[in-house]
Amino acid sequence: MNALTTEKLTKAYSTKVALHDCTLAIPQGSVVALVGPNGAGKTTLLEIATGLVKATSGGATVLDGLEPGSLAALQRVAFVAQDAPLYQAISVGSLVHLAEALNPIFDRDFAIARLKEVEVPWKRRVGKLSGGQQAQVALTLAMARRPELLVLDEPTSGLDPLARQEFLAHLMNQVATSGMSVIFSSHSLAELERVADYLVLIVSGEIQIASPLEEIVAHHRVVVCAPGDLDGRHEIEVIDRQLDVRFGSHLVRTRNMETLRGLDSHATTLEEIVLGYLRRAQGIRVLEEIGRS
Amino acid sequence: MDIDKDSLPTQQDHPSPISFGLDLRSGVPTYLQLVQQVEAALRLGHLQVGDRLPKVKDVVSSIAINPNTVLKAYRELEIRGITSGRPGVGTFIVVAPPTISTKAFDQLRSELVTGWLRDARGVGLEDDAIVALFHSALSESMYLANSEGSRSESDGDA
Amino acid sequence: MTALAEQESRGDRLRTPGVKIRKIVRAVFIRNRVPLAVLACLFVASALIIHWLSLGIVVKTSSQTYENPQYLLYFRLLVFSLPFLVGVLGGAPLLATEYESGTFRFTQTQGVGRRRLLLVTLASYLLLLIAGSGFVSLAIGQFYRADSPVQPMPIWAIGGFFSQPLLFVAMVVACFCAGVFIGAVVRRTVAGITAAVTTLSIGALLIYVELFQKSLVFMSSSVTTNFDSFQRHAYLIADWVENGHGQRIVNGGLLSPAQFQILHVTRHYTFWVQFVLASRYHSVQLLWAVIFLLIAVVGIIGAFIRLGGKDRLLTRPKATDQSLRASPSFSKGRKGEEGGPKSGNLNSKNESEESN
Repeated sequence: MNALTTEKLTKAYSTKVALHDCTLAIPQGSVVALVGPNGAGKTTLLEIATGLVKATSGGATVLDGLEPGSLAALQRVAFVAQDAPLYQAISVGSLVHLAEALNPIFDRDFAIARLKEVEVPWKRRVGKLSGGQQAQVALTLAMARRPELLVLDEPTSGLDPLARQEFLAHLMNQVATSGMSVIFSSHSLAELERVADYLVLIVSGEIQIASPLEEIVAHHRVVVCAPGDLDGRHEIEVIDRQLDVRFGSHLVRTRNMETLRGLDSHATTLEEIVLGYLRRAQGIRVLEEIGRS
Repeated sequence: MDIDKDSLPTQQDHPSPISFGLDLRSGVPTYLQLVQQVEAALRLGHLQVGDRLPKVKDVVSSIAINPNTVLKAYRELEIRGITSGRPGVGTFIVVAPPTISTKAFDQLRSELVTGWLRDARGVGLEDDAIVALFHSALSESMYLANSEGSRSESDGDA
Repeated sequence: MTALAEQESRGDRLRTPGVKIRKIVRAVFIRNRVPLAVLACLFVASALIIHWLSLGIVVKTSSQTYENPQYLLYFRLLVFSLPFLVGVLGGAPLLATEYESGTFRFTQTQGVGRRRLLLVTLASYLLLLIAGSGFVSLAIGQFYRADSPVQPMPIWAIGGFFSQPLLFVAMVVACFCAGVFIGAVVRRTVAGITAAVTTLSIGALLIYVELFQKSLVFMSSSVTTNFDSFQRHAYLIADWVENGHGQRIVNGGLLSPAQFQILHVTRHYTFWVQFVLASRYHSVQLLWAVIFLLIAVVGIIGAFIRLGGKDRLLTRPKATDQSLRASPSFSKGRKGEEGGPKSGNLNSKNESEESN
């Protein structure tokens, strides 16, 4: 059972390639964090998963074989876009009625209760709410649809720390209650380490990591050695190294810990691993620019 | 989870005596933090045999972590023999964790002072370096135990 | 069973009963109540003004002229600006604002299905437009009755022709649909309105200087009567309007500019066309109504295509490939690549869930 499957997914816009050959198989029930620098293609991937954008080539399916954007998929996948675009001119109450009228399943009691809980005034115009409140409204409407897959594009970016904590707590509560899958993009590594159990790291439109969090931590080590010490060892990929040093720490990825025998290696945090990949990507970009000039 | 609410409404009246907290900077995996907190609460007497652990939903709502992490911690506690899950009722403390005897504790301590620490000073390590070394070794042994544990576990599943 | 059929049947099975049309209409009214109210007000106000104008018309029976000819001007202005306003203020912003504000990301991901929603939205708008413009056309009819003793506006004059009540409804619908299409293409509110103003103005201008006359000629040349002369004259008009060399020809011979000027000034050609077409007045109007409705249909289809319905209408999505769908090998390969212990916590979630 997969929440999201993509195969060789590519999306090219007229000016740039947003996604290149992305292949993913995310099991259902996961809480997936989608991480990457700005412009890496996170939003494009999420919009393809919700059917708002069509892939140039390759395919994507949600919830085991449903075409994104098809009626069956729309009924079971909810989406909150970045900055939670909502109709500004109508009241919160009208918006709830609107969402109710647009969905076959809608838990109005839940929506009313949750909006009360996050102190969003029922009669106020949406346009007069703060950004955080609008985010809460958008999330409430999405959750009230009782989706099997909830897709969130930077849901916490407009929230203050307390609201962010409450938001995540509520989201996790829903995951625990309904077993729904969640895919969310985020810039906060601390946040994702806390709530996610699956990580997709995407840089310049290409997927760097897509694994359960535990596997990622288990398969990456920091090795402190001279660069030459890593040569000739099998099943090892050096992700990040300090350049121009005779002796330094290397972030390596390997499934076979035996290959590191005899080296000083230690486990590291998810944050360091992600940063290592980001540094590598940046380094490649710098090298490319140097090569071009 | 709704079932136990209906069949056993009294459970709601007795909140679990423990609530969890989280230290995100410790580098200790979240599920292990929960396990350690239960063990610590047992050692300090805040939890006793027969107490019920909070529901996954409640833990998740209070500290905003992934429900699977809580489940993993609870499973770990069961594997360690500290708790037992009764389907539809909850997870209960069945045994206090094996506490080390004072004698063993004293022995370990003196071994550390007269053995390893003396050696460390002998090669010229300063206090800071010793602490750093200890932390690094501790975290490595923890990750080793952790990865071995999860490997054997998944083998079991297969 | 093919992979595709299998997938479709699965989709059907999973499908919750769709959202009822009544509910969607409610949603449309919640979402678009301001523009819908504005349009309704526009129609009611126009009808009232036309009614008031028709009451105010005073005919001098002695000279067969009006005491207040400016009323006729107001009437025409109103009748022609109304479809224009509907297209520009009602049609163009309908989809353009959704794209500009990003709310299409909200609307198009709701469980109703985007094609169904767009269809119901357009249908609701069109119903209101037809009802509203029908109401206005009643007022127009009344205006003509008041005006009938004088007939200062010949029925073939472009103003009189197009303010025929039923043609008026078709015109409103066409302008609206064209506006919707332009809005869907431009995807910006102000730019969309500007583009709609430009396009509709150009359209009106074309109709005024070119197409209307040509349609008369076309119809008159298609008329078959027993009278050869009528045919001939109709033919004369057809050739006279243009012959491809910039020369104006009369029955195969050339017409001097002076002759042309005379004919033009005395409006002889109009006379002939009118004469030939007199019995066909309503056919010509029907032709125009059909043209307007075609414009409307093209606009709606265009808007659908622009909204991303294109690949779903014309081609099958690639994602339904068997290779991707029946993917045990695929996902296994993926996991194998990541390797190592596949955390069992997801699978065992349901088991341990009960314990709490």
